[in-house]
Amino acid sequence: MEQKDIIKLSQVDFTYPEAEQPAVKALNLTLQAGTWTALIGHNGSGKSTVSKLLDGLLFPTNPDSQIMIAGLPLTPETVWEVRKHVGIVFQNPDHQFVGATVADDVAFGLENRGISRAEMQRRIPAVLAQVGMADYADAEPSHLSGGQKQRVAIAGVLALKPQIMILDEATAMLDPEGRKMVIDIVRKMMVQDHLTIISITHDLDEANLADQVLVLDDGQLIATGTPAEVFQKAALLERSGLALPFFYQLKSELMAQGINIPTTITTETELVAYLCQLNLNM
Amino acid sequence: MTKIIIGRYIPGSALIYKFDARGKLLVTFLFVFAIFLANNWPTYLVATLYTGLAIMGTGLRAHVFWDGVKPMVLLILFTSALQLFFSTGGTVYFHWWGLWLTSTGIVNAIFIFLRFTLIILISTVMTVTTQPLAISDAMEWLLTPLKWVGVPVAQLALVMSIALRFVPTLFDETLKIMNAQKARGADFNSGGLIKRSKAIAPLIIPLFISSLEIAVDLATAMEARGYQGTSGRTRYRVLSWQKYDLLNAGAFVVLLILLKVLG
Repeated sequence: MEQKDIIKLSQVDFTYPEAEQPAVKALNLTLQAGTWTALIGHNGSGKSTVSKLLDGLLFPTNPDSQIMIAGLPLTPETVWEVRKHVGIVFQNPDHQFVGATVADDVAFGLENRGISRAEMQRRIPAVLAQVGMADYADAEPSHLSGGQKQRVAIAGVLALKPQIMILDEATAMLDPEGRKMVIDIVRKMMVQDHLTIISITHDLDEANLADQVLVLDDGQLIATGTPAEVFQKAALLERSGLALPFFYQLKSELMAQGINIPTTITTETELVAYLCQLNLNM
Repeated sequence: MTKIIIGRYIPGSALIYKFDARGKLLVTFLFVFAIFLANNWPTYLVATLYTGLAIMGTGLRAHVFWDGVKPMVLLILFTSALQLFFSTGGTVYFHWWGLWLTSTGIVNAIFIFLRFTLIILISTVMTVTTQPLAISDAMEWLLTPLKWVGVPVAQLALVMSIALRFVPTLFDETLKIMNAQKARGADFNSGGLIKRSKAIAPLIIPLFISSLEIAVDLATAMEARGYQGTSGRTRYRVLSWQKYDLLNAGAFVVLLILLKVLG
């Protein structure tokens, strides 16, 4: 896998108009192509602002800030070029569904790019098949579940063949089944199309699936690392208002009880297997 | 309650469904003028046959068309009654103060009744066999000449299709707010006119706010997906004339010729 830096932020500041506190402060960040990064933090920590900065929906308020996306500096002049490389799936499935039918919605982004009709007729069925919505091409959004609508939104992003896909709390309004399906599809696409995924979430179970976790608090990065590294810092996460995934909660409770869990154990299944072997008397 | 149908489209597979929406819209529009060519029994018979064939062509049950006419029944009967009692000429059957029942009056009343009913039936045929989205595309096509005088027809068409798309969403939103207010003791179904109008305010205001929120979210999503105005956009949904449309046009031309010859 090629390891090039696809996203580079240096000294990015952003303050909303009429806000006293900056939403993002001196943010430095480098992400590698083809990786999955989870950006976590409580409400108002600046997560969504970061996603909007990455797509040029907002611009840094400090002139010294620099954002490089796929080798392009992001400025108001290059924003439409940069957006060709970035796709976003937003939180509310209903508020981002533009088309009157599933196929029309996937077509919307393609129409905006001036893609020929013949090419659209090739791409739309292909991406709908990838997200498992091929049978619903003519369905209206009111007949779809939230998870199905989010899969359509993902198809709309994939149809544009971006290099980066941002999930801006895309699973927050879904039921567990819909959530799992969306995550599985994104993971498959990440490998298949060598996509870079940034998932903004407060679901730490979802963050646990990432290659890298970034914790944002008051617009600043307070921790980065693999999920295992970040979730060790239970105290820090609690201070920023986040609940640990069940696996890490259990692990730290067990440690507190004096049961030593080897660091090689990183999944729930391994932990179950390990606990079954132990002859505990509790 | 969560599903409402916009327009009155009823899915079907008859030939008339395959007619191009532009053709159907145009024929419906011209039919309103064509019906004025009818002025005697043979011409009205021809127009009635044409409408009857169109209705049979849809393959739908009769009550669908009755539903189309029903809201207009009073207006039709009232207009026909005016013709019936205020026309003079021909044999007088009955005369009382200013009211006349004459042979001309009876014939005119029947003609007016037919004219109204046929127009409504033909437009019902159009709306039940054409998807709202296709009607909106067809309207865009019909309005094309306005582009030359600077009317942003493409933007208007996009606005129309987004509006159609969001009707069910806003309807769900309304139900949600209504339930939330009912849970806090609001009463939408009793009291006089003033009390009821007052009860609407706590419904309208949150609905207004949430539609603005939806609009902001939607605008962000559209921008993120590369929307920069309608210039340079291609189209996925394209209406295309088919050989069936010759049948639609042909039938209408035959109608016009018969109306002209017999009239």
